[in-house]
Amino acid sequence: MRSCGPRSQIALLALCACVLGACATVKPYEREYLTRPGMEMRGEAQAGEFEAHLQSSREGAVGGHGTVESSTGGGCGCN
Amino acid sequence: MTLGAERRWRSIALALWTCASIWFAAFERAHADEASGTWTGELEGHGSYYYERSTEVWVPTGRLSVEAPNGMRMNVSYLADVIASASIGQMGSDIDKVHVEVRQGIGTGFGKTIHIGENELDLSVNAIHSWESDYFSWFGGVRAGYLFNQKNTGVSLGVTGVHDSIYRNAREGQRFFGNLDGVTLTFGFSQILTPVLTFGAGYQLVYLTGFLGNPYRVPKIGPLPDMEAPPDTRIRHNLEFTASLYAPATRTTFQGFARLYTDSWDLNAITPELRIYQELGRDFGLRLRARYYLQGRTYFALEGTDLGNYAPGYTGPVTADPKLSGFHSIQLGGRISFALTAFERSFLRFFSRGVLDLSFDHQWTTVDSTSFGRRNFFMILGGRLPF
Repeated sequence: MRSCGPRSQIALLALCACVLGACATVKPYEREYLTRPGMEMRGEAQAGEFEAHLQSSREGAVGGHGTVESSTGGGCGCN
Repeated sequence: MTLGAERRWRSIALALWTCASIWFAAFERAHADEASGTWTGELEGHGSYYYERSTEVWVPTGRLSVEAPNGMRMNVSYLADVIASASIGQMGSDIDKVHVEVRQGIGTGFGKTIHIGENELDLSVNAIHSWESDYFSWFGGVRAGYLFNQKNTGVSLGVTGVHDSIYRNAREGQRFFGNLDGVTLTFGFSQILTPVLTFGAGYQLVYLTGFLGNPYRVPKIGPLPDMEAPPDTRIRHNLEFTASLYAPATRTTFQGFARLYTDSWDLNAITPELRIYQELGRDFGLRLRARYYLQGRTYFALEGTDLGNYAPGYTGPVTADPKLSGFHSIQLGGRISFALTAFERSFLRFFSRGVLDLSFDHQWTTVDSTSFGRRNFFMILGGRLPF
Protein backbone atom coordinates (compact mmCIF):
# COMPACT_ATOMS: atom_id res chain seq x y z
CA MET A 1 0.00 0.00 0.00
CA ARG A 2 1.33 3.44 -0.86
CA SER A 3 1.85 5.61 2.22
CA CYS A 4 0.47 9.14 2.45
CA GLY A 5 2.92 11.97 1.90
CA PRO A 6 3.29 14.91 4.29
CA ARG A 7 0.95 17.08 2.19
CA SER A 8 -1.79 14.46 2.29
CA GLN A 9 -1.40 14.11 6.05
CA ILE A 10 -1.66 17.87 6.57
CA ALA A 11 -4.71 18.07 4.31
CA LEU A 12 -6.31 15.22 6.25
CA LEU A 13 -5.55 17.00 9.52
CA ALA A 14 -7.12 20.23 8.25
CA LEU A 15 -10.21 18.32 7.09
CA CYS A 16 -10.57 16.64 10.49
CA ALA A 17 -10.21 20.04 12.17
CA CYS A 18 -13.02 21.53 10.08
CA VAL A 19 -15.31 18.57 10.73
CA LEU A 20 -14.62 18.60 14.47
CA GLY A 21 -15.09 22.36 14.62
CA ALA A 22 -18.40 22.27 12.85
CA CYS A 23 -19.98 19.59 15.01
CA ALA A 24 -19.24 20.90 18.50
CA THR A 25 -20.54 23.93 20.36
CA VAL A 26 -20.21 23.84 24.12
CA LYS A 27 -21.86 26.80 25.87
CA PRO A 28 -19.85 28.93 28.31
CA TYR A 29 -21.91 27.75 31.29
CA GLU A 30 -21.04 24.13 30.42
CA ARG A 31 -17.30 24.66 30.75
CA GLU A 32 -16.83 24.15 34.47
CA TYR A 33 -14.80 20.99 34.02
CA LEU A 34 -12.52 22.51 31.39
CA THR A 35 -10.60 24.41 34.08
CA ARG A 36 -9.66 21.24 35.96
CA PRO A 37 -6.04 20.06 36.14
CA GLY A 38 -5.00 18.41 32.91
CA MET A 39 -7.75 20.04 30.86
CA GLU A 40 -5.69 23.22 30.57
CA MET A 41 -2.98 22.83 27.95
CA ARG A 42 -0.50 25.23 29.57
CA GLY A 43 -0.97 24.06 33.15
CA GLU A 44 2.65 23.04 33.64
CA ALA A 45 4.31 25.64 31.47
CA GLN A 46 7.47 26.44 33.42
CA ALA A 47 8.18 22.88 34.55
CA GLY A 48 7.43 21.75 31.00
CA GLU A 49 10.08 24.08 29.61
CA PHE A 50 12.69 22.48 31.86
CA GLU A 51 11.64 19.03 30.68
CA ALA A 52 11.71 20.10 27.05
CA HIS A 53 15.23 21.44 27.52
CA LEU A 54 16.35 18.18 29.11
CA GLN A 55 14.81 16.17 26.32
CA SER A 56 16.42 18.32 23.66
CA SER A 57 19.85 17.44 25.06
CA ARG A 58 19.08 13.71 25.23
CA GLU A 59 16.79 12.98 22.29
CA GLY A 60 17.16 13.58 18.57
CA ALA A 61 13.55 14.65 18.12
CA VAL A 62 13.00 18.18 19.33
CA GLY A 63 9.96 20.41 19.34
CA GLY A 64 6.23 20.05 19.45
CA HIS A 65 4.35 20.18 22.76
CA GLY A 66 2.47 23.23 21.45
CA THR A 67 5.37 25.46 22.39
CA VAL A 68 7.16 28.16 20.49
CA GLU A 69 10.27 27.70 22.56
CA SER A 70 13.71 27.88 21.11
CA SER A 71 14.44 24.66 19.32
CA THR A 72 18.12 25.25 19.76
CA GLY A 73 20.08 27.45 22.07
CA GLY A 74 21.14 27.07 25.61
CA GLY A 75 24.11 24.82 25.79
CA CYS A 76 26.24 22.67 23.60
CA GLY A 77 24.56 19.55 24.94
CA CYS A 78 21.58 20.42 22.79
CA ASN A 79 23.64 20.23 19.61
CA MET B 1 30.55 37.64 16.50
CA THR B 2 33.19 38.17 19.19
CA LEU B 3 32.54 37.72 22.89
CA GLY B 4 32.75 41.50 23.34
CA ALA B 5 30.14 42.04 20.64
CA GLU B 6 27.88 39.46 22.29
CA ARG B 7 28.05 41.41 25.55
CA ARG B 8 27.36 44.73 23.76
CA TRP B 9 24.28 43.22 22.12
CA ARG B 10 23.12 41.99 25.53
CA SER B 11 23.48 45.52 26.98
CA ILE B 12 21.50 46.99 24.07
CA ALA B 13 18.76 44.40 24.48
CA LEU B 14 18.51 45.05 28.21
CA ALA B 15 18.24 48.81 27.57
CA LEU B 16 15.47 48.25 24.99
CA TRP B 17 13.63 45.95 27.36
CA THR B 18 13.87 48.52 30.18
CA CYS B 19 12.43 51.22 27.89
CA ALA B 20 9.61 48.92 26.79
CA SER B 21 8.80 48.08 30.42
CA ILE B 22 8.68 51.75 31.42
CA TRP B 23 6.41 52.51 28.48
CA PHE B 24 4.21 49.55 29.34
CA ALA B 25 3.94 50.55 33.01
CA ALA B 26 3.18 54.21 32.25
CA PHE B 27 0.65 53.45 29.53
CA GLU B 28 -1.14 50.77 31.47
CA ARG B 29 -1.20 52.77 34.72
CA ALA B 30 -3.29 55.36 32.91
CA HIS B 31 -5.71 52.72 31.72
CA ALA B 32 -5.93 51.15 35.18
CA ASP B 33 -6.82 54.50 36.73
CA GLU B 34 -9.40 55.29 34.07
CA ALA B 35 -11.18 52.01 34.42
CA SER B 36 -10.57 51.61 38.17
CA GLY B 37 -9.61 48.12 37.15
CA THR B 38 -7.55 45.56 38.91
CA TRP B 39 -4.14 44.31 37.95
CA THR B 40 -3.68 40.61 38.20
CA GLY B 41 -0.66 38.39 37.85
CA GLU B 42 1.23 35.37 38.93
CA LEU B 43 4.59 34.72 40.51
CA GLU B 44 6.04 31.33 39.65
CA GLY B 45 9.24 29.69 40.79
CA HIS B 46 10.71 26.24 40.39
CA GLY B 47 13.87 24.47 41.39
CA SER B 48 14.77 21.53 39.19
CA TYR B 49 17.36 18.83 39.77
CA TYR B 50 18.52 16.30 37.19
CA TYR B 51 20.85 13.37 37.74
CA GLU B 52 22.45 10.81 35.47
CA ARG B 53 25.70 8.84 35.51
CA SER B 54 27.87 11.64 34.20
CA THR B 55 25.90 14.79 34.84
CA GLU B 56 24.06 16.68 37.55
CA VAL B 57 22.01 19.78 36.76
CA TRP B 58 20.43 22.32 39.09
CA VAL B 59 18.03 24.82 37.53
CA PRO B 60 16.34 27.51 39.61
CA THR B 61 13.80 29.47 37.56
CA GLY B 62 11.42 32.33 38.23
CA ARG B 63 8.75 34.13 36.30
CA LEU B 64 6.59 37.16 37.02
CA SER B 65 3.50 37.69 34.88
CA VAL B 66 1.14 40.65 35.13
CA GLU B 67 -2.05 41.51 33.27
CA ALA B 68 -3.52 44.99 33.08
CA PRO B 69 -7.26 45.69 33.20
CA ASN B 70 -7.38 46.15 29.44
CA GLY B 71 -5.89 42.74 28.81
CA MET B 72 -2.27 43.75 28.15
CA ARG B 73 0.12 41.16 29.52
CA MET B 74 3.80 41.23 30.33
CA ASN B 75 6.15 38.67 31.78
CA VAL B 76 9.79 38.46 32.76
CA SER B 77 11.67 35.31 33.58
CA TYR B 78 15.11 34.23 34.72
CA LEU B 79 16.88 30.90 34.94
CA ALA B 80 20.27 29.68 36.02
CA ASP B 81 21.40 26.33 34.69
CA VAL B 82 24.24 24.87 36.76
CA ILE B 83 25.69 21.81 35.07
CA ALA B 84 28.29 19.57 36.68
CA SER B 85 29.57 16.91 34.34
CA ALA B 86 32.34 14.36 34.60
CA SER B 87 33.15 14.01 30.96
CA ILE B 88 36.39 13.79 29.08
CA GLY B 89 34.62 15.00 25.97
CA GLN B 90 33.25 18.10 27.65
CA MET B 91 36.65 18.94 29.07
CA GLY B 92 38.45 18.47 25.80
CA SER B 93 41.31 16.89 27.70
CA ASP B 94 42.61 13.50 28.65
CA ILE B 95 41.56 13.85 32.28
CA ASP B 96 38.11 12.85 33.46
CA LYS B 97 37.20 15.31 36.20
CA VAL B 98 34.18 17.31 37.25
CA HIS B 99 33.52 20.31 35.05
CA VAL B 100 31.01 22.91 36.22
CA GLU B 101 29.45 25.43 33.89
CA VAL B 102 26.69 27.94 34.42
CA ARG B 103 24.16 29.03 31.86
CA GLN B 104 21.91 31.97 32.58
CA GLY B 105 18.86 33.11 30.70
CA ILE B 106 16.46 36.01 30.76
CA GLY B 107 13.20 36.24 28.93
CA THR B 108 10.41 38.71 28.44
CA GLY B 109 7.13 38.80 26.63
CA PHE B 110 4.21 41.07 25.87
CA GLY B 111 0.72 40.11 24.81
CA LYS B 112 -2.75 41.45 24.26
CA THR B 113 -6.15 39.84 23.81
CA ILE B 114 -8.50 41.68 21.46
CA HIS B 115 -12.21 40.91 21.56
CA ILE B 116 -13.87 40.81 18.15
CA GLY B 117 -17.55 40.23 18.74
CA GLU B 118 -17.83 36.83 20.40
CA ASN B 119 -14.37 35.88 19.19
CA GLU B 120 -10.90 36.56 20.56
CA LEU B 121 -7.64 37.42 18.85
CA ASP B 122 -4.56 36.98 21.01
CA LEU B 123 -1.26 38.50 19.93
CA SER B 124 2.04 38.06 21.74
CA VAL B 125 5.76 38.55 21.28
CA ASN B 126 8.57 37.12 23.36
CA ALA B 127 12.34 37.14 23.50
CA ILE B 128 14.90 35.02 25.34
CA HIS B 129 18.63 35.52 25.71
CA SER B 130 20.81 32.88 27.33
CA TRP B 131 24.53 32.83 27.78
CA GLU B 132 27.37 30.83 29.19
CA SER B 133 31.11 31.00 28.71
CA ASP B 134 31.03 29.20 25.37
CA TYR B 135 27.47 29.62 24.11
CA PHE B 136 25.26 32.65 23.41
CA SER B 137 21.70 32.37 22.20
CA TRP B 138 19.24 35.00 21.01
CA PHE B 139 15.65 33.98 20.47
CA GLY B 140 12.55 35.93 19.44
CA GLY B 141 9.05 34.96 18.46
CA VAL B 142 5.58 36.20 17.61
CA ARG B 143 2.34 34.30 17.98
CA ALA B 144 -1.26 34.93 16.93
CA GLY B 145 -4.15 32.85 18.24
CA TYR B 146 -7.80 33.14 17.26
CA LEU B 147 -10.75 31.70 19.22
CA PHE B 148 -14.07 31.43 17.40
CA ASN B 149 -17.21 29.29 17.22
CA GLN B 150 -18.25 30.64 20.65
CA LYS B 151 -14.62 30.10 21.72
CA ASN B 152 -14.95 26.36 21.14
CA THR B 153 -12.40 26.36 18.34
CA GLY B 154 -8.93 27.84 18.32
CA VAL B 155 -6.26 28.21 15.69
CA SER B 156 -2.80 29.65 16.16
CA LEU B 157 0.28 30.56 14.17
CA GLY B 158 3.71 31.15 15.64
CA VAL B 159 6.96 32.23 14.04
CA THR B 160 10.27 32.24 15.90
CA GLY B 161 13.86 32.91 15.03
CA VAL B 162 17.04 31.98 16.85
CA HIS B 163 20.69 32.93 16.49
CA ASP B 164 23.31 31.03 18.47
CA SER B 165 27.04 31.67 18.75
CA ILE B 166 29.03 28.57 19.64
CA TYR B 167 32.55 28.61 21.02
CA ARG B 168 34.99 26.03 22.26
CA ASN B 169 37.00 26.96 25.31
CA ALA B 170 40.42 25.50 24.63
CA ARG B 171 44.06 26.32 24.33
CA GLU B 172 45.15 28.80 21.67
CA GLY B 173 45.11 27.06 18.32
CA GLN B 174 42.35 24.64 19.33
CA ARG B 175 39.56 27.17 19.74
CA PHE B 176 36.48 27.07 17.61
CA PHE B 177 33.71 29.49 16.71
CA GLY B 178 30.52 28.78 14.81
CA ASN B 179 27.04 30.20 14.28
CA LEU B 180 23.67 28.52 14.19
CA ASP B 181 20.50 30.14 12.87
CA GLY B 182 16.98 28.80 12.85
CA VAL B 183 13.39 29.60 11.97
CA THR B 184 10.36 27.78 13.37
CA LEU B 185 6.79 27.87 12.10
CA THR B 186 4.10 26.46 14.38
CA PHE B 187 0.45 25.85 13.49
CA GLY B 188 -1.97 24.88 16.22
CA PHE B 189 -5.59 23.81 16.41
CA SER B 190 -7.75 23.21 19.49
CA GLN B 191 -11.35 22.15 19.83
CA ILE B 192 -13.72 21.73 22.75
CA LEU B 193 -15.73 18.68 21.74
CA THR B 194 -17.98 18.21 24.77
CA PRO B 195 -18.08 19.71 28.30
CA VAL B 196 -15.55 17.05 29.34
CA LEU B 197 -13.54 16.37 26.18
CA THR B 198 -11.00 18.52 24.32
CA PHE B 199 -8.80 17.84 21.32
CA GLY B 200 -5.71 19.56 20.00
CA ALA B 201 -3.38 19.14 17.04
CA GLY B 202 -0.29 20.94 15.87
CA TYR B 203 2.37 20.99 13.23
CA GLN B 204 5.82 22.49 13.62
CA LEU B 205 8.41 23.12 10.91
CA VAL B 206 11.97 23.97 11.95
CA TYR B 207 14.74 25.05 9.59
CA LEU B 208 18.25 25.15 11.04
CA THR B 209 21.46 26.17 9.36
CA GLY B 210 25.02 26.63 10.54
CA PHE B 211 27.16 24.52 12.86
CA LEU B 212 24.81 21.79 14.10
CA GLY B 213 27.35 19.73 16.01
CA ASN B 214 29.06 19.98 19.35
CA PRO B 215 32.60 21.41 19.36
CA TYR B 216 33.62 19.26 22.35
CA ARG B 217 32.71 15.82 21.08
CA VAL B 218 35.59 13.98 19.44
CA PRO B 219 34.67 11.41 16.79
CA LYS B 220 37.45 9.49 15.06
CA ILE B 221 38.13 8.75 11.42
CA GLY B 222 40.33 5.73 11.61
CA PRO B 223 42.71 6.35 14.51
CA LEU B 224 42.61 10.14 14.12
CA PRO B 225 40.40 12.32 16.35
CA ASP B 226 38.37 14.91 14.49
CA MET B 227 35.70 17.53 15.13
CA GLU B 228 32.03 16.77 14.62
CA ALA B 229 30.94 17.72 11.13
CA PRO B 230 27.24 16.99 10.60
CA PRO B 231 25.37 18.49 7.62
CA ASP B 232 25.01 22.26 7.96
CA THR B 233 21.24 22.33 7.45
CA ARG B 234 18.46 20.40 9.15
CA ILE B 235 14.71 20.52 8.57
CA ARG B 236 12.51 19.11 11.32
CA HIS B 237 8.80 18.22 11.10
CA ASN B 238 6.64 17.63 14.18
CA LEU B 239 3.04 16.52 14.08
CA GLU B 240 1.28 16.18 17.42
CA PHE B 241 -2.11 15.35 18.87
CA THR B 242 -3.55 15.83 22.34
CA ALA B 243 -6.87 14.75 23.86
CA SER B 244 -8.10 15.36 27.41
CA LEU B 245 -11.10 13.68 29.03
CA TYR B 246 -12.50 14.58 32.44
CA ALA B 247 -14.50 12.05 34.49
CA PRO B 248 -16.66 14.05 36.95
CA ALA B 249 -17.67 10.97 38.97
CA THR B 250 -14.10 10.26 40.08
CA ARG B 251 -12.68 13.77 39.45
CA THR B 252 -10.05 12.28 37.17
CA THR B 253 -8.57 13.70 33.97
CA PHE B 254 -7.09 11.39 31.34
CA GLN B 255 -4.76 13.11 28.93
CA GLY B 256 -3.21 11.45 25.90
CA PHE B 257 -0.44 12.91 23.79
CA ALA B 258 1.28 11.68 20.65
CA ARG B 259 4.06 13.20 18.58
CA LEU B 260 5.33 12.06 15.19
CA TYR B 261 8.71 13.41 14.17
CA THR B 262 10.85 13.25 11.06
CA ASP B 263 13.74 15.32 9.77
CA SER B 264 16.07 15.76 6.81
CA TRP B 265 18.76 13.66 8.50
CA ASP B 266 16.41 10.64 8.24
CA LEU B 267 15.80 10.58 11.97
CA ASN B 268 12.25 9.42 12.72
CA ALA B 269 10.66 9.26 16.17
CA ILE B 270 7.35 8.63 17.89
CA THR B 271 6.42 9.79 21.39
CA PRO B 272 3.18 8.62 22.99
CA GLU B 273 2.44 9.84 26.50
CA LEU B 274 -0.41 9.27 28.96
CA ARG B 275 -1.12 11.45 31.97
CA ILE B 276 -3.68 10.91 34.69
CA TYR B 277 -4.66 13.77 36.98
CA GLN B 278 -6.50 12.84 40.16
CA GLU B 279 -8.05 15.42 42.48
CA LEU B 280 -7.67 14.36 46.12
CA GLY B 281 -9.98 16.34 48.37
CA ARG B 282 -10.04 20.10 48.13
CA ASP B 283 -6.32 20.85 48.33
CA PHE B 284 -4.34 17.91 46.90
CA GLY B 285 -3.79 16.80 43.36
CA LEU B 286 -1.84 13.87 41.95
CA ARG B 287 -0.51 13.53 38.42
CA LEU B 288 0.91 10.27 37.09
CA ARG B 289 2.67 10.08 33.76
CA ALA B 290 4.05 7.40 31.43
CA ARG B 291 6.04 8.44 28.37
CA TYR B 292 7.58 6.26 25.68
CA TYR B 293 10.13 7.52 23.19
CA LEU B 294 11.40 5.65 20.14
CA GLN B 295 13.79 6.99 17.53
CA GLY B 296 15.77 5.59 14.63
CA ARG B 297 19.25 6.78 13.75
CA THR B 298 20.34 9.49 11.34
CA TYR B 299 21.81 8.29 8.07
CA PHE B 300 25.37 9.15 9.12
CA ALA B 301 25.45 8.11 12.79
CA LEU B 302 27.07 4.88 13.91
CA GLU B 303 25.66 2.89 16.80
CA GLY B 304 26.72 0.95 19.87
CA THR B 305 30.45 0.56 20.33
CA ASP B 306 30.99 1.95 16.81
CA LEU B 307 29.51 5.33 17.82
CA GLY B 308 31.81 8.06 16.54
CA ASN B 309 34.39 5.59 15.13
CA TYR B 310 34.41 5.95 11.35
CA ALA B 311 36.46 3.85 8.97
CA PRO B 312 39.73 5.27 7.64
CA GLY B 313 39.12 7.35 4.52
CA TYR B 314 35.48 8.13 5.40
CA THR B 315 34.44 11.51 3.95
CA GLY B 316 30.75 11.91 4.89
CA PRO B 317 29.14 13.76 7.83
CA VAL B 318 30.73 12.89 11.17
CA THR B 319 29.22 12.75 14.65
CA ALA B 320 29.80 11.17 18.04
CA ASP B 321 26.42 12.27 19.33
CA PRO B 322 24.57 9.38 21.02
CA LYS B 323 21.21 11.06 20.50
CA LEU B 324 21.62 10.66 16.75
CA SER B 325 21.72 6.87 17.06
CA GLY B 326 18.69 4.61 17.43
CA PHE B 327 17.27 3.96 20.89
CA HIS B 328 14.11 3.99 22.93
CA SER B 329 13.32 5.11 26.45
CA ILE B 330 10.57 4.83 29.02
CA GLN B 331 9.77 7.54 31.51
CA LEU B 332 7.53 7.16 34.55
CA GLY B 333 6.76 9.99 36.88
CA GLY B 334 4.46 11.48 39.44
CA ARG B 335 3.67 14.92 40.76
CA ILE B 336 1.76 15.99 43.84
CA SER B 337 0.24 19.45 44.15
CA PHE B 338 -0.89 21.16 47.31
CA ALA B 339 -3.12 24.25 47.35
CA LEU B 340 -2.42 26.65 50.21
CA THR B 341 -6.07 27.33 51.00
CA ALA B 342 -5.37 26.63 54.69
CA PHE B 343 -3.93 30.15 54.89
CA GLU B 344 -7.32 31.69 54.09
CA ARG B 345 -8.09 32.49 57.72
CA SER B 346 -4.60 33.44 58.83
CA PHE B 347 -2.48 36.56 58.53
CA LEU B 348 -0.76 34.78 55.60
CA ARG B 349 -3.95 34.82 53.51
CA PHE B 350 -2.04 36.51 50.68
CA PHE B 351 -0.59 33.06 50.00
CA SER B 352 -3.93 31.24 50.13
CA ARG B 353 -4.29 31.16 46.33
CA GLY B 354 -0.88 29.64 45.89
CA VAL B 355 -0.06 26.09 44.83
CA LEU B 356 3.05 24.07 45.68
CA ASP B 357 4.09 21.09 43.63
CA LEU B 358 6.72 18.38 43.75
CA SER B 359 7.42 15.98 40.91
CA PHE B 360 9.72 13.02 40.43
CA ASP B 361 10.44 11.32 37.11
CA HIS B 362 12.64 8.34 36.30
CA GLN B 363 13.77 7.41 32.81
CA TRP B 364 15.27 4.20 31.46
CA THR B 365 16.93 4.29 28.07
CA THR B 366 18.61 1.76 25.80
CA VAL B 367 21.23 4.14 24.46
CA ASP B 368 24.60 2.60 25.28
CA SER B 369 28.33 3.17 25.05
CA THR B 370 27.83 6.83 25.83
CA SER B 371 28.20 9.24 28.67
CA PHE B 372 24.42 9.43 29.03
CA GLY B 373 24.03 6.34 31.15
CA ARG B 374 21.02 4.10 30.96
CA ARG B 375 19.04 5.69 33.77
CA ASN B 376 18.38 9.21 34.90
CA PHE B 377 15.90 10.98 37.08
CA PHE B 378 14.82 14.52 37.77
CA MET B 379 12.87 16.29 40.48
CA ILE B 380 11.07 19.61 40.31
CA LEU B 381 9.94 21.53 43.39
CA GLY B 382 8.11 24.76 42.93
CA GLY B 383 5.01 26.81 43.24
CA ARG B 384 2.71 29.40 41.75
CA LEU B 385 1.16 32.36 43.49
CA PRO B 386 -1.59 34.24 41.65
CA PHE B 387 -2.34 37.76 42.87
